[in-house]
Order: sequence, then structure tokens, then C-alpha cells
Amino acid sequence: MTARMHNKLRLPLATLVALAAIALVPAVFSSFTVGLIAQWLPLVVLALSLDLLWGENRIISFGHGAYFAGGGYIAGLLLRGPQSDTTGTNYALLGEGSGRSGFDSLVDTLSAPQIHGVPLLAFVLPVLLCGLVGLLVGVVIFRIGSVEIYAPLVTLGVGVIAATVFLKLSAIGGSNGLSGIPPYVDGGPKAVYWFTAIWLLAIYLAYAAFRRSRAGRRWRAAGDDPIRLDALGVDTRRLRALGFAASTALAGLAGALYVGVAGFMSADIAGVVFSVQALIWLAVGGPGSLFAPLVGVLAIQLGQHELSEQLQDTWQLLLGALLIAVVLGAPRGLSGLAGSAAAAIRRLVPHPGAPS
Amino acid sequence: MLVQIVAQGLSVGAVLALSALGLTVIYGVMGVVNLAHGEFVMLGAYSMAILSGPLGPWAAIAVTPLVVGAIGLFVDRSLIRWLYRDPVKSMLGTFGLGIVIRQLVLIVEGPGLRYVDLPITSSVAIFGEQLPVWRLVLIALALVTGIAVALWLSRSRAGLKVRIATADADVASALGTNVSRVNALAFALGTALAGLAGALVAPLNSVYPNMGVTYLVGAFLVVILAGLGSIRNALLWAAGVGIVTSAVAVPRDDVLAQVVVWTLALAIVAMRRQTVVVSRV
Repeated sequence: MTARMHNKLRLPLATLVALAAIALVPAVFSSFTVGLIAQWLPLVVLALSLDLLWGENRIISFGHGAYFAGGGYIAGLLLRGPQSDTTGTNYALLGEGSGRSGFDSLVDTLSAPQIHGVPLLAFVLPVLLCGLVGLLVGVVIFRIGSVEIYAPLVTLGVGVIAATVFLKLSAIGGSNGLSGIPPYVDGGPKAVYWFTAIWLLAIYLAYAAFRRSRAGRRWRAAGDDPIRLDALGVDTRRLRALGFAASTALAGLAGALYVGVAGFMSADIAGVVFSVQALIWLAVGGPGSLFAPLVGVLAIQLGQHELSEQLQDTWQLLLGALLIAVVLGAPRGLSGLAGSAAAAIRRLVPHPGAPS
Repeated sequence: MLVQIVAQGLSVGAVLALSALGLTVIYGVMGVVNLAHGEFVMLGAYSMAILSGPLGPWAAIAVTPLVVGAIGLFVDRSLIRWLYRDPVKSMLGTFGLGIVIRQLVLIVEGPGLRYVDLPITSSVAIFGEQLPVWRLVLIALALVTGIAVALWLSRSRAGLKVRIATADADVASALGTNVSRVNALAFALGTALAGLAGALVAPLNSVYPNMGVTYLVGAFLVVILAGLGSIRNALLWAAGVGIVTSAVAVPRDDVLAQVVVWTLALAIVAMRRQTVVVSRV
């Protein structure tokens, strides 16, 4: 009975601890550090979107950076509003006819609906568009068969292509990136932190609820044994394509949150290096565990912040070596290691009242 | 322009075919999807850039597959053999390997672009259009290599062992085949093919540490269309992808070409009635 109480208590307890930690950050750290931590919170959302695929459905995406960047670009354009003074008139990829004024008036129209000065569509459009693109890609992936092999190949390809296209589009800054994006809320780093933290908390709670729901169990089953689920009358291809779209939509939302904190988006973010860094967060945290995305992002980004300037190229080398080490030595990441450590302690210290 | 498109398309396709062939052999024999494959192409290009000075271009082309294959052999024994028959694990592990190789080259050789002189600078006129002879040589070399690998696998005794190990490693081992040696051989062969692709393409493009991802993505495209497993399909689809790419890239630009090719490829895959069955070589 104690063990069952343990399990029932674990989630609310962990939520309380997380809430306390989130609330303590602005009180404890300087506003520079709070601003830095605020930048990591949208990355946790991106890691959650990957966990939805990898942890819960055994699909690996090597291209989620593209949806993150796409969402970020859309939100960034809407937050910034029309820019009449920027240079560059090459619209080859948008079609020859469309000029800057047409694009500006589109941005103007789309950024008009606002709540307390926050453009509403900056969240809605990234979710819808990234979800739609994800749905198209998902339909293709789950038609090919041998999903565990072809999903990474197709997502990698689509991601790399998206990154090269973003690099060429002058409307979103081309190789300079999109900069000068204002935050969603005024009031300095702490206000931005609170805004982002509340979003993250809401997304986390929704994700935890989804995992425990019937739909969540069905989603896991579609990854564990798609053939059996098919035999039970569920169209797993459609289900998984929809789930893939939900994940890319969440990645787009993460990007939209990110630009509001970082103030900047560039085509690098869409590229395969960043997409794989997102996989490394999850691999280090342990895919399939609720707090893995948070732990993985904090561990890696803290390391990157502390070490990458001194180590430069060696930092990326270490990340690659870390990925190899985790894959070989700890396939369930830090949460798996913590779990086996806890099990080892439990074996050493017998529970009072446990049958001996 | 038509001749230009076909010649450039076939030479792009030839490089893709060599890369995809290596991916196919490695996946077929040991169930490993090698995401570090582009990095082996890059190593081949660097080997060419470094060796073509002291050895001359032709000797460098001959030696490069041996150099890259030896690196592949070392990598197989030290890392890849822990990843056999687990595609997901192998993809993550080899991607990590790719990062390590790329960063090592970056640290040792620096981020700068390197250029390799064309081994043959002359050009010939075909239907009134000037074509660099090197492109034709590249296509011929890739074709000969592809056919040689296919023949080696289907006719030679060593190729027979590879095919048995592919079909059933336990049976092969019971029949006295050293499966572990076959695996190592196949990985060395696959990476040597990637190295050859890198050596051949080095005189046409600039050589730099991050060049690999282009070839990885291209080889994937071929593999998605052809299925992992068939050498003949890989060669045919590589030629097709190459020609469509250059049909857009020659009159317009590279980025548009990539977008068009990927959109077409995904549309083709989406419209197929049956799913591609993953068969081993």
C-alpha cells in the first residue's frame, strides 16, 4: 500500500517542487540570469514536442528545429510589425509580383488582433502552419512503412531543405536573421520570465494530463505495437500522422515563445545541428519521462553557457561524444540512471512492513 | 543547355549513387543506418585535397578509398559493432560520430574552404556544347564502381559470405563464416565508397568540414525513393534525382532545385500504393 501511495503522490509532489522552483528563480537570481533562464524555457517546450514523438511513440525527428524556427519567424514578424525601413527587395521565392508594401500590409493585418498588446495570431499562426506542414510530412512518413527508419530520414531532409530556404528568404532577414523582435510583455527580464514560465507550466500540465488520458494510452500503444492496434480497428497511420502534426505544432509554439524572449531568430536554428541538439537534451534527460525535457535542457544549456566560450569547437565535439555515450551506456538517460539508482537503494534499505 | 543538364545531372547522380550504395551495403549487412555517412564523404574530399599535391590526382583518387575505408574499419571495431541491428540506436550513435568527426576535422584543418584542381582541365564538345571532361570521367568511374560492387556481391566467394551473413547471421556463423569479420568488411567497403565519392567530387566543389550534410541528405533522398536494399534501384533513382536537380539548378538556382526535388520525391512516395518493404541487400 505504501508503494501505491508513493506512485499517487509522486506527480503532485513533483509538480509542487517544480512550481516552487519556478517561483523562486526570479527571487534568487539576478535579472541577467533570469533572462538567460527564460530563454531556456521555450527550449523545454521544444523538448516536450520531441518527447511526444520519441518518448511516447518511438518516432525520432531529426528536423524539429525547422518547425521551431518557422514558428519563431512567424511570431517574430507579427511582434515586430511592419518594417518600412529595412532594405532588401529580392522576393524571388515569394513570387515575382509581391513587393514589400504588400508583405507589410499582410503583416499589419495579421498583427492587428491583440489582447493587452500581445498579437494573438503570433501564437495561433505558428501552431496552425507548423501543424499543417507537419501533417503533410506525417502523412508521407507513415505511408512509407518501416517508420523507425524512414521517419528520421524524411524529417532530416525536410529540415535541411527548410533551413536552406529560410537562409534565402530576404523577407525574414535571409542570412542576417530576424532581429529586433520586442518581447510579448513590457517590464524587463523578470516579466518576460513570468510570461514564459506560465506558458511552460500550462503546456506541461496539459502534457501530463494527456499522458494519463485514454488518448495518451492509445498514442503510446500506436508506437509500441502498431500492428496489434491496427488489428483492433484503429487507423494507426492516421493517428500517428495526426500525432506528428500535434508535435510539430507544439514545436512551432515553442519557437513563437522563444523569439519573444531571445528577440532573434536565424536560419541556423532550423538546421540539423540545432535539431540534433534538441534530441540530445531528450536523450540526456531520458525520453518517455515527464521531467526529462526539463532536466536535459537545463543540464546541456547550462553546460553550453558555462563552457562553450572557453572550449569553442571542442564543445560541439563533447556534445557528439555525449550523444554516443548516452546511446551506448544509458539509453534511458539521466532519469533511467536515477531510476536504477533508486531501485538499488530500495534493495539495500528494505521498506518497513514490506514482506521479507 | 540540354546536354549540360544531362551531364551535370548524371555527375550529381553518380556521386549520390556512390554515397547511397555505401549506405545500402552497411544497412543491408549489419542493420545500421549510418548518419555519419556524409562525414565519410567529407573525409574522402579532405584526403583528396591533402594527397593530390604530393601524390598527384590519380594516385590520390586510388588511395583515398583505402584511407577512408581504414578509418571506417577502425570506427566499426571501436563503435559501430555496439550498434548492430538496432536502427534507432544506430542513427543516434552514428549522428554523434558524425559530429565528432566533423569537429575533429574543424579543429585540425580549420573552417576555411579548400579547393582541389581538376585532374583533367580540358573539355569536349558534344552536340555543340562544351563539357568538362572531368564530369564524364566521374560518371564513368562511378558506374564502373557500382557495377563492380554489384558483381562482387553476386559472383565472388566473399560476396556470397556477405549475402549469407545478411540473410541470416546465425546460419552463416554455423556454416563457418566469421560474421564479425564480414560486418567489419562491409562497413569498410561502405565507407570506402563514400570516400571515393568525396574524392571524385572534391575538384568540382569546395571542401570544408560541414560539407557532409548535403551528401547525407542527397543519399537519403535516393534511399527513400529506392528503398534500402536494392543496388540497381539505388543507381537508377540516383540518376533520376541528379537529372531533376540539375534541370532546375542549371537554369534557376540550387535552393529551388532542392525544394522541387524533395517535394516531388515526397509526392511520389505519398502516392505509391504499396509501402516500400525494407529488404536486406
